[in-house]
Amino acid sequence: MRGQSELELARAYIKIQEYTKRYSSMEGLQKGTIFPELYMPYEKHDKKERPPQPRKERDHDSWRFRGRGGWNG
Amino acid sequence: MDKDRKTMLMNIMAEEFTAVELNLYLDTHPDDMRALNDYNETVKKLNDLKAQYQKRYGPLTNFGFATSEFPWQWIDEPWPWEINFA
Repeated sequence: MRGQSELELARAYIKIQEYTKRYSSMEGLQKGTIFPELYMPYEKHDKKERPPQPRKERDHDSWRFRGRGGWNG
Repeated sequence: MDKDRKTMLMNIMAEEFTAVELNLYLDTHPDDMRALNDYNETVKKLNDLKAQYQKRYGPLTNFGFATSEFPWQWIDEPWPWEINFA
């Protein structure tokens, strides 16, 4: 059933996770997840162009995503 | 409430949240050594922060989870829900 709002209420699935980096504890508290790979919107991969690249090692602070709404059930 | 006290509580909340997150991750990835190390470090840090806070401001939890100085500190204000973090 569709309500008046277009907001997504919940997701019954998440991406398969590979733990590499995490946000600092305080940043995680504010974002709602400590896992950058679960902070929405997810990074997009074009499957036709190339297979998913192995994730590079990055610093906590270099992770920056647009948008809001991290959710980790 | 003084600023130090609020900051200490915020830091405790942040470490607690990280502990919950790593706990949930480890439930489905029990063989991830890195996550386990991070979890154990987080627990240690969390316990230290709680001990520091409780020494200065009194117990965070009651019913046997923290000791109290005299007189009984649990009834001291503010209650957790009276703290404005905004």
